[in-house]
Amino acid sequence: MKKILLSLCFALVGLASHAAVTATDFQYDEASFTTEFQEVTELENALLSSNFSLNALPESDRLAGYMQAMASPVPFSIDDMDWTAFAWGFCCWPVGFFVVGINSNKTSDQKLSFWIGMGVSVVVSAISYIANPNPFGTTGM
Amino acid sequence: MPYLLVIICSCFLLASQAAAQQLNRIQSDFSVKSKVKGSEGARLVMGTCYYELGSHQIVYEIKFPTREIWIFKDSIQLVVRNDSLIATKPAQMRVELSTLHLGLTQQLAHYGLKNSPFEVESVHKDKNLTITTWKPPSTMGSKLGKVATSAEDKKLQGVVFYHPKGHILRKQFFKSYILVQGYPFPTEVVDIAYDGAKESLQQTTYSNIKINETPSRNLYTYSPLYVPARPSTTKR
Repeated sequence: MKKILLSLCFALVGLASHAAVTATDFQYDEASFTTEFQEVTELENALLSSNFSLNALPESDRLAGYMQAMASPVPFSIDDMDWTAFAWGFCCWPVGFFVVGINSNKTSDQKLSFWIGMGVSVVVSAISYIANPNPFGTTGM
Repeated sequence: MPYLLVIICSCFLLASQAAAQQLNRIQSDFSVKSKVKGSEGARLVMGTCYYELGSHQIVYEIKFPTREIWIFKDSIQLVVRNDSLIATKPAQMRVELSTLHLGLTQQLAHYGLKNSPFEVESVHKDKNLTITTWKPPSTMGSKLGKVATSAEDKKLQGVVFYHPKGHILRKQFFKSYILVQGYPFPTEVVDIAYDGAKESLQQTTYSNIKINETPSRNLYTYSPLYVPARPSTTKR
């Protein structure tokens, strides 16, 4: 009996998940949507009326705050890491310095990845030196 | 009899003229606003976009927040600054499914699904909407969910993408249609993507839409003048 009830429940859940599409699926909260974009819409209108001249934007605290947020760079995250540049920094930073570090064709993300790679290399080397200051086992005899 | 010939010839001439006036390029000012629902920050990108049939690329001339050119081609996005390619990224959109392509090829009414492997599963009316449910090809049934389109007055109103298990993954709404050279084109596209409790919102508006115009600077088939030996590739 338990098994039959369980099967029935699964069948009902399955049916519910494949229920017919209704007009309700094609609705969204328009008022909430407009509110979410209220500030950015003000900026959009200001940009349009000033023909994209940022200096001509009206002085408004909210807009100024928004502009500051837009101007500040997006924080670097692990997704932005260029692993080739990182490897140059980690494995062979003297060559990597010329290949990535001062190469004008490289992006800021690549350069930062190189410096992170080099930093990690220095830290790892320091830790291994502190842990084992005499890696070759020479005793000075 | 000669009159009949003249009439037939006139019909052919008119038909050939109509074919010559078919839509093949579109240009529009645009703004894209996006944010995660309930979060503090929002993103605004504004500029002008260009699309020509056969070029297989959409060119966005960005005027805000930075002056750049973005080229969406195949599955990549090229970022160009001062005519020099500075980055390539995986594209977040497909040219064939863009509003510009669907509008220009007059496939917007069915969201291009008629020419896809999806098949019509059902058509029914609910309130004032004609709702068409499209099922994925049987070979992809476990990976792809159904897609539903709704139309009002033969104009696409919304598209809903479902997970194979039945829950909604994404909704798109096409609003504020205007007639451009006799063809309906939406000037507002609302996009809501669901990822668990997270809702990503996006609103795209089009204005100053021009069809078949030749601008002073032809950006329809633009490609960067300078391409470094190895432009950066980012995962974003």
